[in-house]
Amino acid sequence: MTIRALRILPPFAIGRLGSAQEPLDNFTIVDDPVHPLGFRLIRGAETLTVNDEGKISKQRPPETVHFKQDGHIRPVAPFLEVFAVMGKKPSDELLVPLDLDLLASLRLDATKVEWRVSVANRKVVRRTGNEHDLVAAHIDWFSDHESHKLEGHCDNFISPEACIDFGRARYIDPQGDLPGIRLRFTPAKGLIYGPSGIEDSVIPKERAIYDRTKDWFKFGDKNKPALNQTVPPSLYAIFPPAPSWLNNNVAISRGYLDDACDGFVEVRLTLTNGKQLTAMARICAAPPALVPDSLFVRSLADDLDQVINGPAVSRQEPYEVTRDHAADIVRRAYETVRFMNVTVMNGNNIKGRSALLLDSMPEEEAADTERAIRPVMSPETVDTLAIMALHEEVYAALRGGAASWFIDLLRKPEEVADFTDRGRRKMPALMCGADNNYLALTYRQIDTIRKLGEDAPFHSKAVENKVGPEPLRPRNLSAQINYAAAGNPVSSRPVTSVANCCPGLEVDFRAVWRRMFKGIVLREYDNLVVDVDDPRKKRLKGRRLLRVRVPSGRAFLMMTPIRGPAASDPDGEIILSTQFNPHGLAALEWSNALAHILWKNQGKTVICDFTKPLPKDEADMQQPLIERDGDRPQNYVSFKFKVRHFFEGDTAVISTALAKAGELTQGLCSPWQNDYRECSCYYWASARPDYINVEPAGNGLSKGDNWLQKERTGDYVPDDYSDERLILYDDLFNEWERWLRFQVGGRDVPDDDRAKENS
Amino acid sequence: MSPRAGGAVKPADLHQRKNLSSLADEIDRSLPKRRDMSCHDYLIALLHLGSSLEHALMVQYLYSAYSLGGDQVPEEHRPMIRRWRETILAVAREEMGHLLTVQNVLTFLGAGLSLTRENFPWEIEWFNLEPFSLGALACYVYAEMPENEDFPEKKLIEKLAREHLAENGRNPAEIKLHPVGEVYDDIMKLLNDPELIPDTAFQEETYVLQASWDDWGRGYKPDPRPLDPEGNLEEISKPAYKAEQFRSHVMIERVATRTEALAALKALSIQGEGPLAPAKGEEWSHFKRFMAIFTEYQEEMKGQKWSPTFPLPTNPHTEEKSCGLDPDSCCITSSKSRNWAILFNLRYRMLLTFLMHTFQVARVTRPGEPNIRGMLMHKVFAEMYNLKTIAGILVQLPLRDDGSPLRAGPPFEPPYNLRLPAADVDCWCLHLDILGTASGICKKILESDSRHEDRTYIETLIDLDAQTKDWVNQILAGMNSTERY
Repeated sequence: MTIRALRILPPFAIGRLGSAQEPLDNFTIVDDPVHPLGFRLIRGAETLTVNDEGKISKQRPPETVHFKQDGHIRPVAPFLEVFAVMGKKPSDELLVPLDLDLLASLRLDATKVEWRVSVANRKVVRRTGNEHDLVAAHIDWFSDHESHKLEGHCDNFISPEACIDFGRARYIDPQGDLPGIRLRFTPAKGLIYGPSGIEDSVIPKERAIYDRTKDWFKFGDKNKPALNQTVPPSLYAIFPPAPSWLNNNVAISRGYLDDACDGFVEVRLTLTNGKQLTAMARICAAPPALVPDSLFVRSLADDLDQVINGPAVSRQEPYEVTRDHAADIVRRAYETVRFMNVTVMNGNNIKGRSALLLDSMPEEEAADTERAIRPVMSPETVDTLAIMALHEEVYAALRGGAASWFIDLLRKPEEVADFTDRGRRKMPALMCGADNNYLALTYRQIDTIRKLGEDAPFHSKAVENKVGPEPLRPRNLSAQINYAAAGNPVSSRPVTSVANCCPGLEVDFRAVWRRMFKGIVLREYDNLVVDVDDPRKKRLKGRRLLRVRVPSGRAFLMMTPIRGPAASDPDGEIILSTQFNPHGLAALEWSNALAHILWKNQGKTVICDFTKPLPKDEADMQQPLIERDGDRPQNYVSFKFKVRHFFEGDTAVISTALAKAGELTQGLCSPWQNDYRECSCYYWASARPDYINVEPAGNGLSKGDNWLQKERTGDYVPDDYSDERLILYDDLFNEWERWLRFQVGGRDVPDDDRAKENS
Repeated sequence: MSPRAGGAVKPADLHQRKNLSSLADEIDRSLPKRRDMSCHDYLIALLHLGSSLEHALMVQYLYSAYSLGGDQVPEEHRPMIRRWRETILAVAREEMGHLLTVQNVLTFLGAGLSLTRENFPWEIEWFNLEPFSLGALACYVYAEMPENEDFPEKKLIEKLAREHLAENGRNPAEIKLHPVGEVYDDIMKLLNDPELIPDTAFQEETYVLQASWDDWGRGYKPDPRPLDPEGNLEEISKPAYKAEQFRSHVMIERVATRTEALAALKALSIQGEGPLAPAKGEEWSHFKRFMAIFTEYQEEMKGQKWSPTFPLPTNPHTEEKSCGLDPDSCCITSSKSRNWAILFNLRYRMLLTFLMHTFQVARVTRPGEPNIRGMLMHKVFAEMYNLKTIAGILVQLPLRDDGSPLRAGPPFEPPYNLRLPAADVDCWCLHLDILGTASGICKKILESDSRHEDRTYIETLIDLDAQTKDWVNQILAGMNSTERY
């Protein structure tokens, strides 16, 4: 019996920050059999605990899952398991847990297994462009069972010893009834670090480690202009007043860093013949999943599903699978909607106050297009409970076998910048996508809805085919991505990570697309070429990628027109151009824009059309693609590039060529707590909620609280970023674990505390 | 005497009209004008008829669309069947738009709503609930056909329609066929005459109370078209234009003037019975869309041995009096199906009740912010989804337990009563009452041996109804229940 290769599963594990001593128990979320439309139930699952010596034991599933301990949030510390790829031929191969028995059969033991961990935080590098701002931690190969600290050092810290604590990595001692080979990553506490020698009420002396003379402190002032902004811009703690749009977009950094990170875990097994087998997985440390019983309408799992299985659903997919997938999408849609104050998000005036004062997609759209704000849907119809109930009805209909009828009401990915009433009202409504325009589902999600609509009228209800879980095999990348390692709560999996990364919460997934074409690096949020690896193509730096043509002959534009209503004709539309965007074009978000290109073309050569050289002020703008027409020449030049493979070899690990350690999180807010204050819920309502404790009022409309209001009164406080009834930036920086309250069943979890229960 | 001259128009003056008898002759095709009717009355009666027609057509088309499908349809023909189904559903949605527009015109004239779909002066067989077939399709074409349209298949259509309607033993030559457009012609003739219908008959202030496309249209209209630099609409490509014709264009017009009312009715009329060869850029009428299906049916179904539909009866019902007496009756008696059929009727009643309530509360809700009217409107749509789902269940459940291959089908039986109570609190109590009845039926279904998918649906429906009941109870708690107005 031979091992062909190793794998670490899951290939992408999400750790969640928290300062409690004890990691969170394992839990899963299940449908409520009594209230199938209600909140999913949190069910404790078999939990693995690790003692100080690194020995592991099983604990019974907890009856109640406590998310906090002594007022501290319990971190999610995922396990990463090692599997062996075994089988006589590729079609027979299985993934077998690597454990003491298997090692013994190979005349090996646990000491022949070694681990290496590298993580980084590149948030500051992303802004300053200075590699000396990189904060990186590395633990070289080890095979003991000690808890190894991930110390993040940085050239621009005040000393070589100063570091950010990124958490721990531990090779678990396999034994007894848990003989499997595994490592545990325990993320950090969610602390904020800052500049040295400054009076700062947020940063204690021991965490004031960044050299204030370097670029990050006061980044954004006239001496340190912010040249390479993210989108949204200024995603960092700034000197008040904050947010920057209340102060003429002045955003001067306070020089804060956080202990979020991402990187790699590697395992190495040395066989008796000296051959070494290796495997790797990616990890990240993210904010807690504060709404653990709800899932977002478009998750990282959806985007990865599209990469693996393509933008179109196979005709052979069984009806029951399509139905259940479609119903799941709708379910997640209403799980998202229920945390949105739809009246506010619609752009309604609130109690007489202008909608321009409040952050919403229509407000963003008005600012970006320099047009007057308009509510998206009829202002009378946008109560949260009503909209949610309607979504629930749709879900019920799909579960009952109705053909999905609303495919035309779903926003296509190329329609994200359609700001006509028709475009804005498409689903998902009122939310922001990774391109800062209205959110679209993935092509694959949309195709799921389409396929159900086509299949349902011809499906016989007499037979219900049972469809089991996907088998865990080396070729089944989806099963590996979604693998639930023993002891890992659902919040460690990609299904709980948001995908509309603008910039995101767990990762800024836009970062992986930048290097899809071997030889150039694109900006994560649009089609600008920011770097070139091939010296022969150096001149492409600063140009824009307009189109990609694949071998089959299909061509894909990287931009879409920004359309809006014609003021003089309700049946008409115009292109919304501005001084800074005279052609009225918006870059498409990469995940969908590249979906068809990736499918069947990884490793192949494609033709990329770029803008010709332009004056700088024009090069900064989006450009249309113009074909030759008579005497008018085309406005692009074409080059061939190879499309990289998305995954590393035949594994389910996102390729190292696409993102280095730290790059998956580099676009996120620094510190991440800033984003919870600054980003409104129209990004990720079921992860960063807005409307909580919602119930029907006597007038039939909904009432509830703003998640960020300090006192829960049942009277929603609209967020104008300055109302003192709301939690403000420094409140979060100082006491985020107190102020960011877990929501279960749509309501605040009473300051539920395991320690209190036991005392 | 014109009201514009400054004097009030006395009711008696309305009868001193030029040529009343000749006008009565002209417009007497649809509905005879009774001597105890004023012209205003007669116009309302015609609009009621128009509303009934729209309602009946909508239901008829829904039944027809829901009948299309089944696993007996060969894989290679499913795109075609699907296209027919989608086209008929699109037309049904547009009929809903027509229905709402007629309610708006009624409101504009100070009349109450009319959501019945009976009391036709014509053959009741005209509006059978029957599965899709060539004969039924011929009836749809005829119903929507413009009066003076001449086209090669016209005689064939008329022949097929008569034969189809005569299948109950009637003499085809004696059957009177009436294109729906006749009614609207009559309405517009009357409405267009300020001597018969003076300006004082109109209530402009009801505009804000009327149903709007913004609220009810659900995005069902053609895509906006780009404007050229002169501000004119640009043309769209032929493929895009053709694709657009099969999508719904729900028209819901609000009216504040005679001209607007006439334009709205004219638009409905054209959408129904526009010409076979529309002018460039004009939308395809229902007539043209049905003709497209008719043509394709003749080409593709020739010699085919499979049926494009589930085996459904004509006019299925749950009427207890006739159930069990006639072995060939279309009464839904199967123990598996009957409760579903009753539930379907209840949901239909709930839809209509919520719809009427939206018009009633419009008078007392504040526009421009979320209000009860908006919430009720969502309930109407929710019930549409329920009807769709339950219809999909009923087309696969048996009509009887005697081994007959016939399936039950959605009965769409009109409720016994379509009047709302005068007091708002009683309207809410009525909703609770119907919900309670529906819950009871759901529980019976759950207790019976249902298919997995159906059980899942019922469980979620019970949950949804419980939420709705909680919501209604909250509203009732917030009202002073002794107030009646």
